[in-house]
Amino acid sequence: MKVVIVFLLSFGMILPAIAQDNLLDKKLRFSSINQVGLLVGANKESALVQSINGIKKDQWFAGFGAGIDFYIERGVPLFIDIRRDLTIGKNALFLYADGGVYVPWLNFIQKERKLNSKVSPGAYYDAGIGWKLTGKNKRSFLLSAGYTLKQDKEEKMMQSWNPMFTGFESNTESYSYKYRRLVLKVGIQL
Amino acid sequence: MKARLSICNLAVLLLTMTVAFNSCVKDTVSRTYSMYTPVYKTSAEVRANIKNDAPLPVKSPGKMFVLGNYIYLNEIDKGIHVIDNSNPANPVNKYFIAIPGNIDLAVTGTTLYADLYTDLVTIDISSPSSIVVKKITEGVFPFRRYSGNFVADNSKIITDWIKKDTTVTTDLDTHSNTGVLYFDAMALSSISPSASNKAAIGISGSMARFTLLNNYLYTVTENALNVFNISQPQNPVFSNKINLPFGIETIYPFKSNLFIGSQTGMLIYGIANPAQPLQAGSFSHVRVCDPVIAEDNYAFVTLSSGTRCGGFTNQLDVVNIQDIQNPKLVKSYPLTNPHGLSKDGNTLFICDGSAGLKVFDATDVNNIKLLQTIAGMETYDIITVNGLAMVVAKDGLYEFDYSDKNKVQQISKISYNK
Repeated sequence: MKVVIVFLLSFGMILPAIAQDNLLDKKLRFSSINQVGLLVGANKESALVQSINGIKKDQWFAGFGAGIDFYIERGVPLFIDIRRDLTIGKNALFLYADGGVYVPWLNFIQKERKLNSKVSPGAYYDAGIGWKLTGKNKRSFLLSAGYTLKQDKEEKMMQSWNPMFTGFESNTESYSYKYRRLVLKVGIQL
Repeated sequence: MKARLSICNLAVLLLTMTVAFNSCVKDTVSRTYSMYTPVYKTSAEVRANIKNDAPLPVKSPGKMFVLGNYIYLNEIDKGIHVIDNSNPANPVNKYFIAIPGNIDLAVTGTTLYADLYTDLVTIDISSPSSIVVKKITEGVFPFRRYSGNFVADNSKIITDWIKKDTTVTTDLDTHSNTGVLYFDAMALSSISPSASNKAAIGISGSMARFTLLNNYLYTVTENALNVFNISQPQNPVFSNKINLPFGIETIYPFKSNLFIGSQTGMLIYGIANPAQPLQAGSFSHVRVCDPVIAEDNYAFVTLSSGTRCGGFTNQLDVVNIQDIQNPKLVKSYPLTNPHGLSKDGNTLFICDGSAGLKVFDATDVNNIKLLQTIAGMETYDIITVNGLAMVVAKDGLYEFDYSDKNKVQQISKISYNK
């Protein structure tokens, strides 16, 4: 919880400098959202980074995103992002929803732990609400909070005994991991 | 000022969300695995059912024993396949003898010895088509242990297991043990090899835990050597039990010695008094699995690592046993994951796990040369006799002609029905 409070207070120092006029995008244009986030789960706190690139018009944005999620085990979420501004102005609230696939990308230590396993992708989603402060050149500062799930699957080769001493038989056990976390993100939309 | 108010409001909002959704924060794991439920029968039902049945497909082969034109192949925990090998190019699965809990076997003359969980069953096989149970020696082997905290009802006999796939979801880090039953390898005893080529005594593989020598049947459990007097073959008499260090795996007879493979070394027991084996020597190695065979001057020990065996060593050790009280390592040869082995003359055969069957020229033990690798099968155990090698592999029972040791050729295969 301390980490969450420190994370929020840090915005109090940097936000006022960014406040600028908000302009609605009447025409379709490319837009890029780049964020870092804090993940708060049942077992630990961790981080994520992500980049979402798509198109923006009026109060709507849609794009494809990719990132790195470090919670428990490292992986790459690949997703579609849709978001809508709820209010108009330089200070605006918005809702967002992401859905896609989570691809495990284990680091060395995590791979060592799963030597006899085959790890495969699972579902990924993230939804929440945020606040957007738009400044010059339609650049916006984003702050959001949401609820996110990542899932991955593991097939573990187990060996049951065969009395020939050497003859262990291989059985497969499957595991489906689901990590449900709160996510607090800060970023910039260009 | 406006911005500061917004930040304050937002901070309150986000903190409220954090608290509100805190109960939704959860890491879970769903584990899908197989659970086995035992099927019991009474001892009377089981014993009445030990007879020649119609042949069954081989599914989970264990150890084998060869006598004359017949191969006796264990079906793990179920019984014994009797295979007519009169024509090695076309072996015929003739009968199945249902013996629940069976792991090991030994054959001499017209008598078959097999374990039935804690009991030793003696069967007259003089007429392979009409076998007769001659004696059941009760309680000579230890109770089987099971993992997953399962305790069997020892007043009955487990004849089968019903497999059921199940999924359990738990919080992460609490899924370490949900009770899948795995047999404990060392809890069982079995019958092992007789390398003696006397006509009336069968030949077993190097992985065996029963062996026949002269008028005695020797069996090893995880920590004991049992001696049975079989001067009347169909009336074995339990005569002695010698405690051994924990971790015993195999037993192999040669002349007046028993070579006992353990996870930490090779023990040599002399049988000048066959009813009272005495330790004559030992050879230690790192903790691994190690079937052993022996001849006049040298013992050949394969060391293999694995889940049960532990260790990281996979090699062949050649041990000089000319001074039986002081065995000495001659040389080690690296291998992939060796298991059973057999030697005929100067030709050494090693089942090297997933690397297949390897054939060596062992004329010079200091310079053992690889002659041939037969890949494409995962091999466990081998018996060689009269130019014929019978190999238990993961996918079938193979037979090879090695009359030309430089050109070992497959002549038949009985595929398993998984």
